[in-house]
Amino acid sequence: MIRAAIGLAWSAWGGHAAVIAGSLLALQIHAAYRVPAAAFVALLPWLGVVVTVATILMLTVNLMPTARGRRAGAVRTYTRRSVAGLAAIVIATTVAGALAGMSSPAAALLGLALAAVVASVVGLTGRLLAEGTVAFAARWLYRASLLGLAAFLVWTAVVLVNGALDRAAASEEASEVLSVVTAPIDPGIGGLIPYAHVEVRSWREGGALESLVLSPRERQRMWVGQPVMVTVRPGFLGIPWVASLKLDEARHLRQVLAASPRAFHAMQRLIAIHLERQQWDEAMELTRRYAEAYPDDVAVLEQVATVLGGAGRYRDQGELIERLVVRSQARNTGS
Amino acid sequence: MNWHVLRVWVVIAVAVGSFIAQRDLSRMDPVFFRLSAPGAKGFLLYFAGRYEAAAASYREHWRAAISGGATTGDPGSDLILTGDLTAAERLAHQDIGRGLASLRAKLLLAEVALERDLPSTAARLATEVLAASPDDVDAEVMLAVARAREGAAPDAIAALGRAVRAGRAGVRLVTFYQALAGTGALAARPDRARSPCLLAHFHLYLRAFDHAQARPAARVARKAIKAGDRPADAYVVLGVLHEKAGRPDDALAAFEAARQADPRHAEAHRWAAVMYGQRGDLLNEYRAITMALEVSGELFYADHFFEVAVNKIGDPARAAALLEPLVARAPDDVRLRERLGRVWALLGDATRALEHYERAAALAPGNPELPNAIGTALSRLGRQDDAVTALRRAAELAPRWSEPHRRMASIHYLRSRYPDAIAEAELAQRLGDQDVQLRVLLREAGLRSP
Repeated sequence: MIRAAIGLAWSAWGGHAAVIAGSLLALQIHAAYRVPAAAFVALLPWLGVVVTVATILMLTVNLMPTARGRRAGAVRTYTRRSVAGLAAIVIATTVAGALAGMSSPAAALLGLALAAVVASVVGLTGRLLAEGTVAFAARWLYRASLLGLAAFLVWTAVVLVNGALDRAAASEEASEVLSVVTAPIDPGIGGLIPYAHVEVRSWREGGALESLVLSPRERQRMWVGQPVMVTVRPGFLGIPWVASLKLDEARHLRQVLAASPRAFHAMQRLIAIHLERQQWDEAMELTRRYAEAYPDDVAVLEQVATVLGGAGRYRDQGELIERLVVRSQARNTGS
Repeated sequence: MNWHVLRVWVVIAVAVGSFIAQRDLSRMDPVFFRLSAPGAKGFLLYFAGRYEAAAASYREHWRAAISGGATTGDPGSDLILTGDLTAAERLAHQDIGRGLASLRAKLLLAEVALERDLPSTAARLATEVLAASPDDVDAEVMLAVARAREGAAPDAIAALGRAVRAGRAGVRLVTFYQALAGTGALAARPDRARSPCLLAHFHLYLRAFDHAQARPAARVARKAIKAGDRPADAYVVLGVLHEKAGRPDDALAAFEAARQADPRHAEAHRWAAVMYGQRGDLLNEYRAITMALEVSGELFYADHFFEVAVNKIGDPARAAALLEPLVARAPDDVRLRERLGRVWALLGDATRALEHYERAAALAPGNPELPNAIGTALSRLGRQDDAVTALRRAAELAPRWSEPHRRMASIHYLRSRYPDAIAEAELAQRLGDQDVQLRVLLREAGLRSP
């Protein structure tokens, strides 16, 4: 039975199923250890298309009759001329990259990558023109889609290692949701996995906005204009990642108070937040405002005075106690 | 035919049938399933989208069944379905002027009027019912059917909008068949002679009986938007359908489009507030529901507005400003009076709070919360004896409720009547009151008691 299972896993069908399942599971990793990379986040919804195409191609390739004859040999040999052409690409790209301000190794790598891409495209086109069969095209497309999925899984592994092994301290960054983009990752049979990402104002110097993948639960709690607190971690591999994206309650309450300046629940909660964060001046200012709006509610003043006393803010505490005494005298005299 | 091939086809048919049954039939109201030949015919016609013919077949089912001794459970409906409109009318006239029965009688008369194709009479009767019972879904549907027959699409849309926002389906069988036939008649008209927005509203209402109605409702709503036929209403239909289907993003987008199309569309504002509330966006929820109440001035929006403005953000001043004008429209609405009492109490105006609480208590003498609130207001005004009397009344109405006793204990304690304070505090504790201040009061009163 174990041999049968291993055989299934090794077979095209089992292997394909494993790759697809792995790709879908990888989404959870990207929602948990999200790296703010705009290009990757924008490409993520296409995962569904790649999965569907790969599945169709796998079925096509495996149902096609195996070619009896030997595969056609290479139709093009690497001549000195072609090698020289590739080398020219590498050199030209490296020089251009260096002139554009890239570091030398990065420019060289870019040149190599470009040369490899050109060589692959030329080679593949040559084979396609030589063999000219649908089967050949399907096989190569299937391999290309598998390569895409493999690249995605490798990146997922990097993201996983970077996030899961990160033990460094996190930093809290204030930001704001600028847009919420919802696009189902559709493998062809409906929106199986709800996928969304947000674009938030960047907390990095010189950055305009950051794209972050959202978990389904977070999606339900996001809106445009929402003030958020982003928890950023440096990353085990040095790639900064976002651990959480939460409503910045204090800023949200300030927005509410701007719309409704006498909202007592909002004021009470904001006072409590300021006290928790030991923002004493802000707490005092708001408590004064509260006392003006709701002079009969002495309980809030008593609570704030107690906390301020505990924190050694005796002058502020005294001011509040004075207000309480004045209020008590006013009540006793019936005014 | 090859036996093997036949078996394969049977299995495929059963599989497909099961899928359709699971998806569509399980979400249909039993009103569509009638065990008779005309009942089955009605079902098939309904499934084929021929609603007028379906309604006629269902009526045929009932005519035969009632003649055979069955009943719909409502004598008036039985008479209409057997075609005896005169007897139905006579039955209604017997009940007119007898409280709730009077409203039912008026609804019966409205149904008879629709049967006789007298839509203006039906509309008048339905309006009379709604004046006395604004939440009556059947009356709204009757009004919509009547107005649709008169060609007054905006009024019909408004009535169906109110029926849908009530969040429940009507219960009158004849009204349902009239709405079903009305939908079919409207759908059969040529495009230029019908309001797609009204048709979308009929389908939306029928969705309460059959979830599959969401598809035609959305299709026709999109057509209405394209044709510019009351796009705000049509967007609201789309939004409601998205919301019911669990697509909150699409729903909010539709409601926002409705708000843009018509900034005075109260229902669009309310739905937007609901969606923002689900997200936790207090600011936009508050803005949207405030807008809904401001543009409509309707009592219906008062509850949601109060919940957000007072219970969530705590702005009683704004609540008082928007809720007070509603008293002129609905002076005898207990909930409104109770809420205004609370608003004024929060604003420290015990006199105005007392005024509203007393009015509410007169309208709902059996509600213990009202004398309890009256007692609190009286206590704040320094009328302690009256306060205790009111709190005793609350305790009488709800003998297992500790709060009136706790409040009485507090009043007695402040007046140095320590034995009375102890008695009330102990009673409150026996009733399960765990309040810390009550424990302190009990201890202090015990120390001071002679």
